[in-house]
Amino acid sequence: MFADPQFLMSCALFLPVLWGLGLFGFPSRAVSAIRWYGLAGACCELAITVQLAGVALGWIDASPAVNASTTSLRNDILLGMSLPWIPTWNVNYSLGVDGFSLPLILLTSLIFVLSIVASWSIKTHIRGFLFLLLLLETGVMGVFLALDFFLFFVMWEVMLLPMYFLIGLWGGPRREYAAIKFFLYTLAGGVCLLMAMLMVYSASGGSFDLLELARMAQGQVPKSGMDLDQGIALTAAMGDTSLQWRVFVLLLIAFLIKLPAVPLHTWLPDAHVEAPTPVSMILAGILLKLGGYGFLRIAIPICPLGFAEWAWFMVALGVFCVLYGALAALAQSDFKRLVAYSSVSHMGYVLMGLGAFRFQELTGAVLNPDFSTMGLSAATFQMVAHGIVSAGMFFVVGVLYDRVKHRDLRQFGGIASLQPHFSAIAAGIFFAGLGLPGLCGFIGEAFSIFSVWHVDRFFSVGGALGMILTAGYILWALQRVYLGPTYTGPNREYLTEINFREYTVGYILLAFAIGLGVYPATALNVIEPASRQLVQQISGSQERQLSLNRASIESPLDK
Amino acid sequence: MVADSLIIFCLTLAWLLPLAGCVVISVLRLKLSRLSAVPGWIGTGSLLVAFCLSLISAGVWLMTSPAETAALQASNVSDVAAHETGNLLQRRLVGHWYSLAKFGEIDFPLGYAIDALTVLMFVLVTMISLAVHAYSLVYMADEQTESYQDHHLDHSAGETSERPGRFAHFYAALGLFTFAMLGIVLAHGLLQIFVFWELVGFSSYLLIGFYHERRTARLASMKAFLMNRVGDVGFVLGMTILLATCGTLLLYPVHDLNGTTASSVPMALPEAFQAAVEKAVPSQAIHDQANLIPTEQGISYALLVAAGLGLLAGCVGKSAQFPLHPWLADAMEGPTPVSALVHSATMVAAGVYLAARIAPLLLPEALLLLAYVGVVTLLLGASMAIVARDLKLVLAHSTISQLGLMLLGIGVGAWEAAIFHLITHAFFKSLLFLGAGSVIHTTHHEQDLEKLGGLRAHLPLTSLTMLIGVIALSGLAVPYVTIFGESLGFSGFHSKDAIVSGTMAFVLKNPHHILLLISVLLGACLTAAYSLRLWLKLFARDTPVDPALQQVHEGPWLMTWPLVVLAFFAAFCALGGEEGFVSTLVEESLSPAPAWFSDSTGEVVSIQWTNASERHAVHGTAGAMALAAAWLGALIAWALYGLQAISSKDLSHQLTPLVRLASHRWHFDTLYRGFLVLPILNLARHTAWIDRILIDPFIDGCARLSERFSHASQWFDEAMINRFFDNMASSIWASGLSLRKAQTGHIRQYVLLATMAVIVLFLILFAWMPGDRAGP
Repeated sequence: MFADPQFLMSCALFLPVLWGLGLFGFPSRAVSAIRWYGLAGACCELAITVQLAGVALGWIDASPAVNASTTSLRNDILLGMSLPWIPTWNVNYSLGVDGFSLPLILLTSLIFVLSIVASWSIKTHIRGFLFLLLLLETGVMGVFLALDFFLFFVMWEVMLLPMYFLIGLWGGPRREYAAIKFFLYTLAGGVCLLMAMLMVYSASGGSFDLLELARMAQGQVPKSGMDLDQGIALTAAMGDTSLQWRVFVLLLIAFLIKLPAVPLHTWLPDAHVEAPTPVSMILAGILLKLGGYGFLRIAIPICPLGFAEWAWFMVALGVFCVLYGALAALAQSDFKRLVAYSSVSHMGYVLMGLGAFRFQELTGAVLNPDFSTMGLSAATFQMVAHGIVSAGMFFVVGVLYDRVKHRDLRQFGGIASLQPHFSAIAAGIFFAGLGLPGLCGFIGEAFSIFSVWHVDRFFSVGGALGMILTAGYILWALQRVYLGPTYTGPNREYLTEINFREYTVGYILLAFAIGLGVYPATALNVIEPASRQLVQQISGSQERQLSLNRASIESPLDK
Repeated sequence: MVADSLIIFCLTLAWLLPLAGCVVISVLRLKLSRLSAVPGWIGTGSLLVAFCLSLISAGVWLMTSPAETAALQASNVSDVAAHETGNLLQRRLVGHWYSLAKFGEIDFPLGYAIDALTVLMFVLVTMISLAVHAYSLVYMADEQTESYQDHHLDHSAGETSERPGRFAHFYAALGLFTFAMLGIVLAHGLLQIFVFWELVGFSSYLLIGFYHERRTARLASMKAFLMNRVGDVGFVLGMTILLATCGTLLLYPVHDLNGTTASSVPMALPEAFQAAVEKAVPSQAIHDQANLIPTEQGISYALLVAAGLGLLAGCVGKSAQFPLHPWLADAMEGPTPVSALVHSATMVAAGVYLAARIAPLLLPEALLLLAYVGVVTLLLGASMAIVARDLKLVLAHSTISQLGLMLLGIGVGAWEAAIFHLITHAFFKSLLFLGAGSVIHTTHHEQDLEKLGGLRAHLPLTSLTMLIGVIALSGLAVPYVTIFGESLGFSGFHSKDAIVSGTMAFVLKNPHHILLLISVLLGACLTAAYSLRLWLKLFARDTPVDPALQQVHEGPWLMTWPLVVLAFFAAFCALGGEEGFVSTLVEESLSPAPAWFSDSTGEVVSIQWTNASERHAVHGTAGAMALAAAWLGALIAWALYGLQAISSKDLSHQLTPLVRLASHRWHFDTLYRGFLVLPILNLARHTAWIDRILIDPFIDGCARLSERFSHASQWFDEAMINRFFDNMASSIWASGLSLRKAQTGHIRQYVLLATMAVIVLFLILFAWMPGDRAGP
């Protein structure tokens, strides 16, 4: 049973929320039992996703039923399944795993385990808190696993609600403002997503299947369910450049809000500052990745022609975000706000990598496909790396806040002599954020910079200048918080060395930061085939479109 | 082959051992008491083993060299031809460990490239590092305490002076540094070099900021890292260009262990780059940006120059060259042994090392610029060294100046001379720093040259070894006297000679660059002057200037032995000059001169390059000139500070503006602060301001607007729509009520009403009916 991908995927999807329902069997006073129960659930989920990865990568032999179900799907999907859900609307319950989603799924289950460990510091209504956390995990898993647009959208909205309550109920002093801001921003994105979905649904003759939509958008006739002429007509409708352009713009807005990109980013600092530590870890570590993943799973595959026109803009915006986020971080005096802005800056590299495409003017083929592959892989890797690093940074801030109850950088200093051991861990995590080679932050940054050179030289220059600013704000923050004479600010007496639970979280994150930095091939070997496939698809659809255009120009009389 | 495998094994192990030491120390630190000396011994032990392994591999290398060469020549003729320079054959072991990332055809493997220079650098780095490790066992012993008293803290700023000792921290960082430095030496590709390059910067950050309770140390460590990062941006962009134009970042093609070429060896950078240069189109011809992409049209020449300049920017940052030099003087905030290892002998030399390794990728324009950067730094550093009052600052500025000399050597095409000087400089500069450390340690952290003086009787060994170092640094020798065919001079004399003769040969062929030769001679003069000044200030008289210094004495053997060993090498490592052992090994392993060295292909500048024989021809003259300059400088210093024939105070009064400028370090810090740091911070504030003042209020405004709108629509609902329907309902109700009166129940009344209604309807029908309807 545990080698059956259908079971594993559904289990990964529904286990958290079902487990979370079990929380209500506990009396609300049994705080310790509730915590351990919640942690056990997250650990089970981690085990299942690891097993899923094993099956997907072929380390564990899948049952024979798999091959039958997989062959019907596209070959770059490692595992897949599809069951009818709402047949009237042609909505399916289809899940799948490929090179883009697998690393992010593993990241998700890992970060949830760590954030539940970190939520030991939550003292009030722990049962509801953990339930919302597990519900959120189901939503996130659903987004990463969904191969059906409708399912994707539903899961996208499922995430919204628990997040709203987690910030709004357990947050800091301005939690209501932050929560409503987060909610409205994300909802606006959701509306764009919905519109895009309906446009695609009608143009494709009623399909939500992401793989089929991608095939049609690239000009291939859908496989089944309709006769040939109708299929050709629908394919032509889906392959229409102006339609794809409009759909892409809607998706762009939806995913840029989530990423977040300047100027749609201001929900992020507020949400982070108000959110409790575990929620911040999840928000920065995972929820931001959904924006980047949305591009890889939906926006780019089903609107390759629209993407081709917007790729340059995406890189430009990415460079702008890198610089803007870093500059804004440099000016912050709230430690958590600084880390939040560092997320804006780091996710800019993701956007740079995603758009690292340049097309030949004559044939429309992707110029230097290897560099575009590098860009997509770097973007995905940067998402994973940033998931580790930003969760770590927020954890570090949270540990300090739990003790001294403030986050004012001007009042810190000299923490290192009071918490020497933890300061070393924190420095490691922050240097990973700085992009020190040998730690995970470097790989995504360097390869995004390499890959955008042929889009425009100045993008590489801008991205590289971001390296200086990043070093600037991180070193300055470290200096203001950890270095210097012994801390004399508020609540000094509470500033003890951290406990075993906190060490565990710190060391696990640091271990991943070092592991991924020293041997990034673990993740890149999974990501790279998927990105190469996507580059080929984009290249193919663009070439096809250009040849169609040329044909219509050369022989106008035929029509 | 067994020998090759042995070399690879030994060097890999020697490279990893310091890291292992660092990890073990970091783990043990949690358990050990702060009083324990064990971390120091672990670090020193790991370095001792690493040094022995390096020696073993050097021995194996030297023993097997000729036979290997013959075998290589026999086995693979075409390969040999590609790597032949004159009669020298390059022997190099290159291999992969694993691939960092692979995207289609673009591969980023990690691996090793071992040639004679690598082996030499391994011996050098492990040796100096070992000396520093051993020396620090004594020097840093005061850190083995639970409460370390830091006397350099600024008490007015409210800094408390007590803190736990950080002995283990020091050795962990030192081990990490050694690992990273050896990693640079061992690496076979630019990306790998960059990885360790940054790690070196990181460990240097840790070591400079070792006394981070001091504000100056905190700022210095940050400044060092950031300035290096500025250079590294250039490095990254240089790599980007090379990757885009050549498709690889490997410096050497990979062969398997048998010396034969592997089945499908991708082109390494030098060949790919030469191919790109041959195809390069002049930059004037490029208007269209599309041409920047490698196609049949070729690549812009300017872009290829820029690639070299980018990599050189990295070198300039790491080697503290103009204009990125200010960090090195501040880096003296670290403990003195660290200055000896990191900030004089090895890390800062990494820039020069890299510049020599990538020399085939540098086009004439880049090389010429490098030569001028080097010469400017040479004079700038020397000028600051001559007025510096702080003992360590003199040495720091001297390092900057000497590194400038090395880069000048690379710029004029004398790479082997530059690397030769790098090696000799590493010995005598680490010697000088450790000697300075002895003085500082025994005088309880006194570094002011005006307060020190007359220590010779108390520190005989230190003064003698430092004298050797000073003579080596200033390149002094006894002219026209030879013993056993050796001229009477220490290592610096030979290596500096090599660079000066390289410059001279270059200037003879390109007379309009005469400024280079003049400057290098002036530099030699200044170098001798400031180095002798340093020694004379410290040791000239027999009795200390300051009575408080009566108690000073030599340290224990762990401190003096490193001095003696380093003094031996500072004196004799360059035996034989350019025909000597070290120089030959260096020459053997550097990349052959690229094609454009035979003619002047430069686009902006046209330069005649020199070859080794031309350099050799002017060796005598150049040597004599350099020596004369050095003696002149030495005599001036002696007159000023030894004989005190001229009052140095009077002289500095005469030259007040110049002295003031130099002692303010030419105001570079002020310039950077005013033109870079403050504007960036301002920009940052404004960026945050955009978020706070523009975007957020806009979003909030939108929210408020929609709230207002919903209030308005609520009002509309209640005031308009609801009222309309309410009114309608009530009027219907009222009319219903009034109609109720008609419900009388009388049949006749109903019939009457019905009849009246029918008539009225018919009347209406006829009144509005169009007349012609009746027609058909």
